[in-house]
Amino acid sequence: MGGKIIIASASVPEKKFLNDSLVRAGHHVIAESNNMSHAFRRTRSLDCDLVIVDNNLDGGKGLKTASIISEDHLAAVLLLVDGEMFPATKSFHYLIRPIYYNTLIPAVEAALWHWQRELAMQEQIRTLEEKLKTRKLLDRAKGILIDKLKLSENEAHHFIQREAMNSGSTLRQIATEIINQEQKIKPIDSN
Amino acid sequence: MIKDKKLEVMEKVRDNGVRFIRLQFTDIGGILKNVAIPVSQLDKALDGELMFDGSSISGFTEIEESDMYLVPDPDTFTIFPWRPSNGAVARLICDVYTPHPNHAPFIGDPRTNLKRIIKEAADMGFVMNAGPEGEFFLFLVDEQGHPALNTQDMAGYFDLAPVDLGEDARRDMVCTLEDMGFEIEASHHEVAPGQHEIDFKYGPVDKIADDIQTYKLVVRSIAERHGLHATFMAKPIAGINGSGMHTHQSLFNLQGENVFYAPDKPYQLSDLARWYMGGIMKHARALTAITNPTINSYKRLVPGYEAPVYIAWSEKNRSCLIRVPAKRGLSTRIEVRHPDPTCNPYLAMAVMLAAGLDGVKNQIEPPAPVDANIYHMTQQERDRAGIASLPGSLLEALAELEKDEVIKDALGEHILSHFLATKKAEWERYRLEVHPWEINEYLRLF
Repeated sequence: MGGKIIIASASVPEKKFLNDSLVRAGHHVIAESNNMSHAFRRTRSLDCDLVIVDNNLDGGKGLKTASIISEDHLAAVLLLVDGEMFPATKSFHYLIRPIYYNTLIPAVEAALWHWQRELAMQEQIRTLEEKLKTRKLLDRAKGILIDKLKLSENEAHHFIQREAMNSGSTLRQIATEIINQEQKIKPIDSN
Repeated sequence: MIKDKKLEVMEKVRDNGVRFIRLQFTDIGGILKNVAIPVSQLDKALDGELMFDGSSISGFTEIEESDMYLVPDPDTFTIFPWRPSNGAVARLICDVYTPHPNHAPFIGDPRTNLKRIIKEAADMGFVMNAGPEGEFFLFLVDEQGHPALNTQDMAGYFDLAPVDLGEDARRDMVCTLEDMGFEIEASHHEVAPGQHEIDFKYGPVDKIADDIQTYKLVVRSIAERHGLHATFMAKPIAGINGSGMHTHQSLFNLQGENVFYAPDKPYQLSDLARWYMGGIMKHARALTAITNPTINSYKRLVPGYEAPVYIAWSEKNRSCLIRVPAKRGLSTRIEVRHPDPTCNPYLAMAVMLAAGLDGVKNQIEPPAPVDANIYHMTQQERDRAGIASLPGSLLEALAELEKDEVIKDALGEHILSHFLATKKAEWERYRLEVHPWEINEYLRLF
């Protein structure tokens, strides 16, 4: 499946070459842009995977455009640079002109692949962080139940599970509720 | 500089991988200036040993004594959240010092000047708290990268518009400001299409003046990253609301109690609150030159667009110069509604505070509140109620400023003379120009 790509270039022939090559390789060019501001607006409002940026865009604002797209995690970036110029940053891919079909397409595909992998990893991190947060809340809630109601750890866990099932809530919601209501839970006397 | 604070800054710089530091200060015109230094120079900078050429900054010094120092305020250290990949960038807001006599604060530095007025208030036992509401427009940028007057959207006040580019940009601005330690109280669409407002929590006036400058920088920087142009110009489009910077203000005593609040008095406002208002109203015509300092500012101060035109106060009426919001207790405050965000916040806060303090010192009684819509009163009715109007143009405001000793003192001789000279020159350029309106109006007619 092809990637959704935006081309931001000041050069009409280069834009045409990029467009033709990308389409031939099975990708979708969803927008073209010839200045920085327009490129930002398109990148933010369209669901795109990769922006190919010409370093001469907008009188030399290509590097700035590429950096901001990359810093704000809007899409993968492939910067096209002239031979003598190397970007100082290593946070996005770049290709040195002259550009041929055979060098462009592998670079595009590598950039797309890294972008997909980055997205997947971010998603994984997010899920793990959520799980960790839930685990911490559950542990605290169980601690409160063990302390106040003199339950075993297993009983406390079942208590939260049962409450969640009875009220159609998640374990996390019940745990949060217990933590918030801690003061109101009457301790069972230990005499 | 106190050694602990210096070490604290150095530590933060190290821990966050900061590579560059921007030393910021504000010129008399209200423009934020900065010198970027690499981390290797930070030690020297924190000791206040970094020099710059003051004669290059409009209104600072003449060429023959141009060496000036930037002395960073370590409490203002903040890392910009938007440059992560290439090594972080931080900023320090600085006071400007002169080498003569003997490394002293420079009286032409607006931040230093504000501190002088704050000290006067402190000597009387007061701390001024302020809460500004800065409005701005987001415009599209055209093919050549120039801002155009097209707004992004057609939504209005508080509208829950479908997510558009402006909404997205504003959300990003709020997140960025929060990352920089701002406590955002509200952010919403304003009355006009493309107009937005972000309100942050009130605080001591010196910090708030710094915050306003940071706020403007963040709004403009984030707008650029969204392909939009943010402008704080007071009235970019005739016929729709302009952008104001309503400034909520109150005096606290040194024990942290609001001295504007008096539960047993009319309107639950203390004598001090009334006198403070009396002072603002007495000096309103002169201080407007500072709070509304551009030619365009006076195109906002016209009837019909929620901007004040008349010098009066009220509890609910929004056509007045001063509104007293309903909240009492610790939140008792007055809202001065005429400033606009083109003002230099350090100077604007200094003149408003000085006017208020003059009211307190001389127990200036404000006239009775006006609850009728003043826009609908006739000239005679206004005269009978003793309601004067704000200056109609920058020129008129400058003339008022020259007559008002209290406001002149609040600026100090150096700032005053520079301000008057540049603003008169600005008026002269405007006067000599033939404007498109004149061409449209007269070219065919005569």
